Amino acid sequence: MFEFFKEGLIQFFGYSGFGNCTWGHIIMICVGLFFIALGVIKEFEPMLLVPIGFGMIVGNIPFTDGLQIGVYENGAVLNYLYFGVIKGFYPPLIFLGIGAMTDFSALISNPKLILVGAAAQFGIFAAYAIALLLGFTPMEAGAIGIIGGADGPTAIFLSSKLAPSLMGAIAVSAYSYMALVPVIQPPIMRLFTNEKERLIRMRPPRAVTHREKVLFPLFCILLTAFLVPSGIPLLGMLFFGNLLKECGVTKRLANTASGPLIDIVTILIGLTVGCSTQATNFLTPKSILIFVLGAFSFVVATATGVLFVKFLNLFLKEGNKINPLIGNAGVSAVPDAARVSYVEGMKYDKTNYLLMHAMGPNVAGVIGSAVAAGILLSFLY
Amino acid sequence: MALRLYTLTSIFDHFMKSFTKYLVLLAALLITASTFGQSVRDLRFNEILIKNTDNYNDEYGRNVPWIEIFNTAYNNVNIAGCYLTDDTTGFAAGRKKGGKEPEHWYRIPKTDIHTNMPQRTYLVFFLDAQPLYGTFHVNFDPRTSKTNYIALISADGKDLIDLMYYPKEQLMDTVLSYGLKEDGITGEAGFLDQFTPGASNEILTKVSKQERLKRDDPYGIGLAIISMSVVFTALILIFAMLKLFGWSSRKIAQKNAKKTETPDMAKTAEAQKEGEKDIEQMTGEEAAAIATALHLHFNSMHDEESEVITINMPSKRYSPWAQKELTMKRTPVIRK
Repeated sequence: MFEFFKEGLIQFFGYSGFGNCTWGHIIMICVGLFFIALGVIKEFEPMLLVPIGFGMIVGNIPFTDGLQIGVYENGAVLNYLYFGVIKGFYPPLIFLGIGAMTDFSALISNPKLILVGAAAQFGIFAAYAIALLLGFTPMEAGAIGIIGGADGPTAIFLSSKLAPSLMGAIAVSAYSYMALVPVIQPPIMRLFTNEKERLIRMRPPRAVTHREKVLFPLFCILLTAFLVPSGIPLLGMLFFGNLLKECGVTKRLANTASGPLIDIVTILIGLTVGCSTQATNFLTPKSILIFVLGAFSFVVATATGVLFVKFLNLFLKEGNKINPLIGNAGVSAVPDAARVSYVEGMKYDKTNYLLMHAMGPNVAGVIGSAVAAGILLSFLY
Repeated sequence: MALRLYTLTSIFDHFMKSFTKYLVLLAALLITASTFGQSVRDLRFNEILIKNTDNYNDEYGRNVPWIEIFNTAYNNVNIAGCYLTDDTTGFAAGRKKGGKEPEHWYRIPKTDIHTNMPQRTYLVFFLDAQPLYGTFHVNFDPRTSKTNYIALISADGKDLIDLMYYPKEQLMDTVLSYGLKEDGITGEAGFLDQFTPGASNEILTKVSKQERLKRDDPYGIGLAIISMSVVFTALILIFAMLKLFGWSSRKIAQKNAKKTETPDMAKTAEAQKEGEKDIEQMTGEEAAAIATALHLHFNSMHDEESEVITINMPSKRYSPWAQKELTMKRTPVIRK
């Protein structure tokens, strides 16, 4: 009788999390807790870091394989939820919501800011080249490079197609750097600008008519999708969401896309991406390299954005010049990157409000990174 | 005259209504056509072998002629119900004559799940004139056929999906397979270097995108240059479009202003322009001061009220269900 209880207890212990725990699981759970702390205490992208952090904890609770529990096990509930990430249909739905939330007025009123959004995409291709040198395959390098686009959904979409095995590391890296925008970007912005440039006052944007706002998504989808058809899932949904918002007759649809729908998808994508960071698959030297390359990509993207503004200023008349502090906003990460421009601008001139101006390159960055993802997909997939 | 004009207008209206109907009909037809375009129409004959001495065996271990069909689409296509034939005589007149299928027309059975072809896959049929041997055994044999082609016909027997001519005499004499050099691309056909039943014809020649990139652009510089050029082109196009937007909206605004402008208004507009210049030069503190003054001024204009009171009856009668007081725990009172 005693033997039976003893064996039963030993068997039970073998099934429990304690019995299967490794150092890797503990490290990943600590990372998850750190993410939650960052989101709750520092309020760095809490909408993303809290679900991802919690997902990391859920995904790293050790269990015995074959019980249909884990995110990678066929038939598991988490596996079904993860399906949207693997097949890449969560990111376009998020883009629909982003489109329905975004006001492109700043960009429409000052079109030259869109070029800053294009320049900041250089980080993607710089990281691609370095990743190739480090021995990654072209497909893996493309998926890693997109971290520099600073756009979580785009990174997930592209890595799900090009390098599904690296998706967890890429998604977590992209979202981590997006959350750390206020920490990473300011030193680079200060490094490449001088006191005089930081004080540049930009002309107030002109009023944008309703007609322009309605025509913008229609023309944009035609121009960009014809050029890069592989970007249709992202660009199509982005501009469709924006049309719903701006046309004025589909308020209910726009409200759903920008509210409940994007919230639901964000919860699912955050949680399942977090779950996908199971220590056994995640804690590898490749993941560490991805984090390093992601940071490099982000730094290059920020620097090229700022430097491109300085380059543009060489050709602009006095009074029309652009404050280079908004160059960093070219790396998507809406609206955090724009907020960083604003905060930095305020440090040097309390009456220089850069937020609206920075929103121009910021939303241009969203378009730019989606176009870049489309190009990489057409070359590598 | 008025009557004539009325008649013309009504004819035009009638035409427009009919035109809309036809337009809708045309759109529906186009949609139908495109739907059909993603089905059996995407199937192509890919490879054929007639002299099979020690090559691909059927499920009974026999070496018989075979033909391979390729699904060029990126979706599943079910070939069941379609016809394979080596004799399209009377095709235009319709397939059935007196309720019977023509002699050399093999109808692919609908009951076999293997006839459902996933995207970009291959299916092999044995050309052995033994339809009783299974789904993939047709009722004709090219070795005894009078023709030198094989046709795939739609389930209704009206549409020719694909037709492959082959050099019969050469294929009868030599162990060679004949097919498309590139899978599904009907332009270039010829003798193939190797037999690939159920697989791509380009096994030896095809280089993947990755391999090509690794070979031609090992450092990623070429891809970076091309990609950045495309990103810039896309965004420059949007830039040009937005510039056009700005220009046209300014023109429209000027046009509208001119339409409604009177001599007095012109003066007012000039004064307004002057005012706008002043506003542009105004500092933030001045703007804030003016805004505060205006706010105070408009808020002080509340002395005379309209004295109209509107009393609305509540839509619902009182219900203790929603009364918060009743749902709360009462503070206990000590009885003395």
